[in-house]
Amino acid sequence: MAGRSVFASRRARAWIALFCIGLMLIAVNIIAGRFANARLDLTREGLYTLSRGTRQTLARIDEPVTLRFYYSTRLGDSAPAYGVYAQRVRELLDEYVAAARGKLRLETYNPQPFSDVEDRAVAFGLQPVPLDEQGEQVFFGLAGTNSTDDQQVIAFFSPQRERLLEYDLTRLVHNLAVPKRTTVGLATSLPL
Amino acid sequence: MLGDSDNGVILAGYLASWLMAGAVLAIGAAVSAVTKNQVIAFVVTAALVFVLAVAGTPVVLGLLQPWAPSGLIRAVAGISLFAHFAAITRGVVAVRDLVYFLSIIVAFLAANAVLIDLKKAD
Repeated sequence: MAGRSVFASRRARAWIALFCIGLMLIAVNIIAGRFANARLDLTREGLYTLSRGTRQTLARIDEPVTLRFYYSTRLGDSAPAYGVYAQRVRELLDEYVAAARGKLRLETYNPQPFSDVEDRAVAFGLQPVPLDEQGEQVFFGLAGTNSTDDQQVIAFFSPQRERLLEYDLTRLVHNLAVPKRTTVGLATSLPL
Repeated sequence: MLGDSDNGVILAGYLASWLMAGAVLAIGAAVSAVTKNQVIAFVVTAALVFVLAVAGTPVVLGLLQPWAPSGLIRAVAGISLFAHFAAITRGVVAVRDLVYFLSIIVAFLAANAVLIDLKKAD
């Protein structure tokens, strides 16, 4: 009798231990996914690290620049390759924001069908992509504005341009940070 | 002759394959602790690893998508061995991918120890 109860408690303890191990496994991964963003870039060209030109551009921003990142999570849910790429874009943008020391603001939107956010994304000129036969449209683009209402847009982040991603982003930020002076022409018959 | 190779990426590929092998071996060891026969252990391990491997593929996510909430879909995509494997083989060793593989290795080895300890007294 005594032996059986010892066996039962041993068994119970093993189950509790297994349960705790499972719980720890899940908890550790959730915490790491949320808070651990450190990574080591081993590519020779530093494809996943900000280049010096980007850092200089970001350091030269005088007026605040706002970036609006539109990404429909439905796109990543149905095509995981886009989900991975979106996370990469998101992380690169976070690095831009960190390197710009407060001059760059990032807003992230997940446009729902028929919402105001979606309307604004279309108004910015982002390219809606049809997801299924029901006509649901998804977005994966970036709209940037500066304090003088200039607009620059990446209509859709195509994975084929992944190698040029940093160039595209830096060019967009540069165009907003150093707006070209507008050329004014004057044609008149009046003597000036 | 073969052009310039990027040794960092190759190193990351090796690292990813070692981590993947370690995770699968740990799962296999834990499964063989609960089975009496090595053939059964192999089949059960292969099935388990298959589940972990296909979790992030479009087929599985497509099945979930009509009814599952977005959080669940991302959780299922997140347990995929291959998603983390692919992330490292790009040449970027992220803490979250390392944590994923190491936590699987540690958890299944710990479970293995618990199970063997339980069976020992029989």
